[in-house]
Amino acid sequence: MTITLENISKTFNNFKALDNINLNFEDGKLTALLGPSGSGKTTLLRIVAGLELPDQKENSKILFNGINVTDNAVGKRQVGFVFQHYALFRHLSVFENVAFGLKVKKSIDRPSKQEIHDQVFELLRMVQLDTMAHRLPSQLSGGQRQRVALARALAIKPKVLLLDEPFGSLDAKVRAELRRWLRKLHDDLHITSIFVTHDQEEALEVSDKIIVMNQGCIEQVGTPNEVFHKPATEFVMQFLGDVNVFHGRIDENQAIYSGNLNYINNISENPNVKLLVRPHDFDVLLKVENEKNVFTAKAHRILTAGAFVKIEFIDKLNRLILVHLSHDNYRKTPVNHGDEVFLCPREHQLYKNKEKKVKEQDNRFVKRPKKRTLIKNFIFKYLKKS
Amino acid sequence: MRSKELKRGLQPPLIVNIIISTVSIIFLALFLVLPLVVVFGEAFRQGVSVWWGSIAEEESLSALRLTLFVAAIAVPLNLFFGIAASWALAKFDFWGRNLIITLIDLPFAISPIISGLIFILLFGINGWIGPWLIKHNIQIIFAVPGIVLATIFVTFPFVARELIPLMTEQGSEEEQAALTLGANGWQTFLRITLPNIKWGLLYGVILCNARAMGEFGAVSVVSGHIRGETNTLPLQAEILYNEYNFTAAFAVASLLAFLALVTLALKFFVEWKSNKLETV
Repeated sequence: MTITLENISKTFNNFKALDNINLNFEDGKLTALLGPSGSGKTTLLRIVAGLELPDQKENSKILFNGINVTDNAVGKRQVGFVFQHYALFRHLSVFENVAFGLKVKKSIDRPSKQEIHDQVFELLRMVQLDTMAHRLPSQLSGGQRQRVALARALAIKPKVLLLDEPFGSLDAKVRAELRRWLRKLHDDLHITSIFVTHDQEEALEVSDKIIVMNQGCIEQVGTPNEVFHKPATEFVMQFLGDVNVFHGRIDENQAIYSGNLNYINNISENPNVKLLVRPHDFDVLLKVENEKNVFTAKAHRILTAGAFVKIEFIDKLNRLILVHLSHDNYRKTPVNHGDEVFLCPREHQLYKNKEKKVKEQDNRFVKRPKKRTLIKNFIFKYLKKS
Repeated sequence: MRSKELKRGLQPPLIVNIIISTVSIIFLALFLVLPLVVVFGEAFRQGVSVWWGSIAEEESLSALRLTLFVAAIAVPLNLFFGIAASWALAKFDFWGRNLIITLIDLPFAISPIISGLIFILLFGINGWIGPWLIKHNIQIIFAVPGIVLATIFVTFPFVARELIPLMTEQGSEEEQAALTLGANGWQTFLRITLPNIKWGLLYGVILCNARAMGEFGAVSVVSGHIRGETNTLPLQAEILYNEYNFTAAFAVASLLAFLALVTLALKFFVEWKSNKLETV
């Protein structure tokens, strides 16, 4: 089923959680909503589910397969929702948890006891928990609870599966396992799924499509490849992995100066730019013919334990530059502590600096004068009059 | 050697231990066990037959009946109110929520005598609604309805006080999960909310019941002390005592104490059961 969101906004008190979102979720795809905490991704998911109402606007709509469901209650939308903390019914056994959605159906639609039993066990076998049917949620591990939550959501044969931080509270190993398992499950069932995550690795690994969100807005929509290799905005680039940022200027000859780096480029409108390079996109050179397009830097810290070698360089402007090298390349260009070498970016992204300095803080709060200032102003006015 | 020292470091010295224990045991014995022993001792001093005779007397029996009758009305009503109020207050956030939570505590905060007086001022002859009630021949003050009303008012907070923190802590995620699975509001309440709060609810009901049967102050003000009609057990005990009929007074008191002990036993059972459930 395709899901379409048109002009969806959400305001909590005077905080704008979502700002006019327009999105399309394709049929049978697994989509990730990726963003830092507070970016509005969970709110968006809950609005799709019907657990939260979008701001009342004429043109805001939620369409399932082209049918307007904006006014449909949660229960009528037939969505499977997996909560971040699972929200299993603590007083019911695993079996009863999964059977709940079937048992509360109207008597006409409700399957017989035997059918319920069979369906539940089929689901439990699928999530490999058929031997634990009689246990209470409190007797299960985190990963098992997660799978019960998933089986429970699937029991009502939902048209959409919505998962809120599905692996958020699991340890790294179980998380990787479940991630693979979820992908496989999706490939078997082909149910339109949306999952929320703040973990870029998870999004890149599991999803067909990634929607990157920030401060209630969408930054980029694309496949994992597009988002990773062609980040549309500086935020996307920064959010999807480590990055080195160099502030620079463009002169009239369209060369970029940043420290001792000279770069030819075709941006001309704004002289202030930022050059972003991922740590693995650097070549380390011991010698160069001319010092163009390279940073001269001193090796400061070298970490060789791990899948690749991490080196921290300090350049002449005292900036920290992170470089990731494969062990092979490291052997070819062995760098020792204190060595001065040349770093050449293979790939980079250029972003225009905004006119004003970008404020780090969230500025989505609608500003209201403080009560105290209001009272103060009032008193001043009063005093002036008299 | 080390572990022994460590252990000693974690515990208070023996002498302090003994002093604290003795003081608390003596205190308990003096203020809690002794009165109970005295009540039962006095009640049975002249033998079981005399005790039974005092209780089987028409006035005492009618007091027992009235006490149970009042509790039977007040407790279910407060149960209903308590669930409704705590559900609304714990699961939803609205303007004035804190004010209502504070208001629920009002009956605890004011003296029971004042609680009784409120009803006299409302329904008494010179009260706000009193004249209208007399005109329509409805008697509330110095009659059973007044006693029931006063009892409900005084025992009002018990269930809600017990449930609000419990429900707030549990949050509403499970209810939301039930809704996404297609359950309607009523199903969600019966199958999810109620089972989750059941032990806390029972605990609140037991406390509410104990107070409903034992309430003296507010009931005393509105009852009018009509023998065999508007006397509850606590009032009856007081009257008998004031008439120097000590054995009968203590017999009635022992009955009340017995009801209280049963309630306590129930409470103990509920606590034990809910603790067991939590540790599983």
